[in-house]
Amino acid sequence: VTDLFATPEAALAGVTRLVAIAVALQTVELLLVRRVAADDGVWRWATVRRELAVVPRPVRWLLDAVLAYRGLVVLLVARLAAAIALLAVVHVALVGLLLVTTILLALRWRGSVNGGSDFMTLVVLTALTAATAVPDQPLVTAGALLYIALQACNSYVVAGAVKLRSRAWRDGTALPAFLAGAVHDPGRLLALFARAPVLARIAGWAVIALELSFPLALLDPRACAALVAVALVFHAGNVYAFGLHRFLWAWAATYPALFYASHVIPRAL
Amino acid sequence: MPWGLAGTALAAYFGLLVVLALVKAVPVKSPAIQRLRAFFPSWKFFDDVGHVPVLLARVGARADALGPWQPCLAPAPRPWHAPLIDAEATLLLAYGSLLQQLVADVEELPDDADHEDTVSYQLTHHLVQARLALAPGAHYQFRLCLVEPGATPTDDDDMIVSPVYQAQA
Repeated sequence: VTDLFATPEAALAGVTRLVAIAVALQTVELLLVRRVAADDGVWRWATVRRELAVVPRPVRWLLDAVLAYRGLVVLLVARLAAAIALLAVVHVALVGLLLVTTILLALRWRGSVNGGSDFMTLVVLTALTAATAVPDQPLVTAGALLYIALQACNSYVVAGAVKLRSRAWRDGTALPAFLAGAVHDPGRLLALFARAPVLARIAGWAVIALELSFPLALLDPRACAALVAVALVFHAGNVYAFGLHRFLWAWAATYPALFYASHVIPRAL
Repeated sequence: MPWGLAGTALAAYFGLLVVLALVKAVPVKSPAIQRLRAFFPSWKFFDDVGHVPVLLARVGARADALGPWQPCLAPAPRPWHAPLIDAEATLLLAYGSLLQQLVADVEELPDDADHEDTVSYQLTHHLVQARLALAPGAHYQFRLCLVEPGATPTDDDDMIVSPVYQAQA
């Protein structure tokens, strides 16, 4: 596994395939719940577009065409088709389409559909667009992969540091509190933590330790493999506890770049 | 492993990142920045336990005979395909973000502004209508409370109490 993404070509292919899967799954979900953006839905365009009154009129016309309900459905179908096509053919037009539609969907949902997973999808697609725009420039490819790897590390380190600052995370009360508001029934996990509060404290510190130690993945391919394996378990736990499945796929798309960085960075040290 | 300039720079980078993350940030509350926040990724996930918005609604045949307050958003079942697709969970998370946006928007409103004019309030109103599946002519009201996670809302927790509305045909 550690050598699977040792070359920039293999790492770029891995990132591309995984982000294509992530975007395809995100898009299928949005198509399934598309009625919330219908003209009588929760996020009806007539209401949302009021916030875009400040943008120039031609841009507003364009947004009306692609983000009102009918245009939105067409946009989602095109996005899904591009994501599926990207699994077979790597082309800047496909990646660019995914990037643009991700930005448009963020606007449609007033900033983001699903917070962090949208941020990371955008980070990966931005770097991938640069890399596929000039495919014969190894320096651009390497730069794009290192940017993705660094952003993945940033995400874990910042998330770990802010938890370390929080007394609730340090004393083990944060996890049950967040679980109490989870989108899936947290009953069994809450009962477990109520029976053994020390487990919540251990789990909290384990999350902080994982997140803060993640930059070590950049220093050695074996360390990278170990941290990615633990991170996958962590994300799987978040899927079960918090319904954060979109995070699992968005972050998984960064791991081939991390493996690549774990080969390149030690040579530069 | 020899630890050259690149290694020192990398360690310094992550050290600085931790220090910056530990500093209490002043949130940027501009609505324009909020709408473009996908371009400014924040990785501060689950950073602190605070009050969470809870949406409650009540319905009745007449405006003066509304039923008890009920939560509008309940946990969704966990489907077997949740690691791949869990549209209901994503939707509930998006509803949660909408309520947090409403809280932020109301807190930022000037004293003479009406929160019912905000896009967040109107979208929340649509959300209530969608979740209640109202019969034409039914009366309903909703309220937004800020509570400790898992706590039952009381009257003291009210942030917004809507007027009583009547469902259209």
